[in-house]
Amino acid sequence: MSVAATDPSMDAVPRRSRRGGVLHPVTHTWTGRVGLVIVALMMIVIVLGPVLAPHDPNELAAGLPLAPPGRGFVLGNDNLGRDVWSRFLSGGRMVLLVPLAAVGLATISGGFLGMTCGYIGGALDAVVARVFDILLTLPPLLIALAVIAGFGSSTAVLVLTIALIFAPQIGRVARGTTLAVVSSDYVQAARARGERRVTIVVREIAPNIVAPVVSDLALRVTYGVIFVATLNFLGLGAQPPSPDWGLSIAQNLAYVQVQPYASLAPVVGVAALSVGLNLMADSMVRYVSHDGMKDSML
Amino acid sequence: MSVISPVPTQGPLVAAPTASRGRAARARAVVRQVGLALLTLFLISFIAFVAMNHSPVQIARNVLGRGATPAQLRAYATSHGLDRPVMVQYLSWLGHFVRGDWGATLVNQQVRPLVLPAYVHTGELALITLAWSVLLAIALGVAAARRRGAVDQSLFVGMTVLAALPEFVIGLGLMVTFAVQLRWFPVSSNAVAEGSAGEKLLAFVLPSLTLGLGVVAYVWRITRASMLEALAAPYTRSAILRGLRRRRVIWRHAVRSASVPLVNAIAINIIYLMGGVIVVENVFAFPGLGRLLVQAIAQGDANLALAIIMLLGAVFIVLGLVADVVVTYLDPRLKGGSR
Repeated sequence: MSVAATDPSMDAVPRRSRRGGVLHPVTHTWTGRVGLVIVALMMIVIVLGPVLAPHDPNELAAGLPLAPPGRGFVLGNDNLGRDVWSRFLSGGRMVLLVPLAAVGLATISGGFLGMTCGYIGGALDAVVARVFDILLTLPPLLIALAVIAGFGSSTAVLVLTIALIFAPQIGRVARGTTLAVVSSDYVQAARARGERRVTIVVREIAPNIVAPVVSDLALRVTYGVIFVATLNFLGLGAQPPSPDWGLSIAQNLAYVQVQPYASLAPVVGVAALSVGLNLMADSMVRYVSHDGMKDSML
Repeated sequence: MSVISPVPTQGPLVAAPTASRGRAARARAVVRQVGLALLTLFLISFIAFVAMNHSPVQIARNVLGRGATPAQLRAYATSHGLDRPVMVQYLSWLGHFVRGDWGATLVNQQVRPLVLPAYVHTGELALITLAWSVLLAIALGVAAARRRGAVDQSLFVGMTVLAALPEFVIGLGLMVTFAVQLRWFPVSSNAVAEGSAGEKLLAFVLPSLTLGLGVVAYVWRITRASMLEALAAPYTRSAILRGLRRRRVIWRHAVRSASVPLVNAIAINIIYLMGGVIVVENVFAFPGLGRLLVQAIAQGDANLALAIIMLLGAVFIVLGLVADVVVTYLDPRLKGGSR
């Protein structure tokens, strides 16, 4: 079981429908609930924030540079006099949308390829599995940096790069779970009953690989958020004057002793989003990998 | 890594493992892993090269500046062979790189003398961090698996949160607390390059701590899970029933069998450690490859970036390879034959 221990979704024995499906642990374990609340709050901030912001996030010298909280500026002003609170409210869009788009793209490409290969098997499957394995040995951040160095850091490049990195990971999980389901008794039974191929895929296989695949997708979104925030922090993603959280942290770091809120507010934003998403993903992964009962007492 | 696929415990190969057959199987597994490592390095260099050299005009502009006319850009591209097919350029670059000619930076410095000291610093940081963090993670993981309850629960919450935080957030937290407020350690780790021995040591603390906490959070989880499995196994119960001391049962029997998935997990996560290195070096201005790489990319310096990507790739692929080979020797199932 040496591989299984590092990748819970791979050895998950697919079972027929369990109460509530893969979203069940999100509302029925403490990790899931806490994660859900945090993520819901952050979603409100990210979606409604730009509308609620009292100032234009890019308005220079709205107040005094590096002014402390007060006089209509809840969190004070950054080094260019911009309103820290408005920038916090407007700065979360990219770290959420880019990972979501990337994971969606990677699921459509990698997930579909993995599922098809797992079902068909044979030489094609062997080749694709080997290609996935080799792509998985590539260090993600290094590849992303190389691509950004060559093609620039537009949003499209970021989405494509992250999708490219995630596709083999999602593909491997989809393939692994499909393989396990294909050889299961109920698929054999459906074959023996003489069901059509399409019926088997739609009615027997798809419902039973949803749980491991969705829990894996949740994890990917979490990694994606961290990844994008990191790229923006390194100055290789969002460019000034964007109010993006990662970028704001890097820009206001030098003034942390004078105006701590300018860097702390976006730090809280990134941290809350990634921790909340991770807690949700975590509850799903453990539910799928069977030790849900042991650990859900948290 | 998936190269070492688990072998069923009762197979004809495992039933009668002779010493020589075991050695041959291990040798074959090691050769496969070395081959895969070389292939990975080759792929990294190829992707990076193609990404950075797909547009001759862009390279010429990086060198000549924004003011250059299209005619000047074309002339530069032709005189430096940038108009040749990418494949030809890649092979020529690779040939030079392997022979030790790593080219010059945009400001015409030689790349090699610039990169090698940074390479040493990054290597030191990675090794120091790997050493302490893995040991700490295993100790905490064993502790959590032994005493389920309050210790386990609080570790669980802490580690889950820690694992979810981006490295730069952890790094900033540590920096604000220990460098800005308490002033125990320097804010910038520049002293690693040009300080006295004492300053050098202090400058290592915060970067290594930041990097290591992420490793601890991950390795802890694997240790805990595989220890729980090992402690519940029949051989552990029989060892206890034979009257062996608790400590001996845990460290000799359970930890030993839990070590295979553990080293496997470490091997897989070494490439993620590399991502951490790049981030942490930029948070603390640590004079290593990661910081140099981000600067090179920001300036569009292809030669410098490529050399660093190759070196970073090499360091971490070798580290991962070492972990893989250790697994080959730890796992008794690989005695009788691999694949």
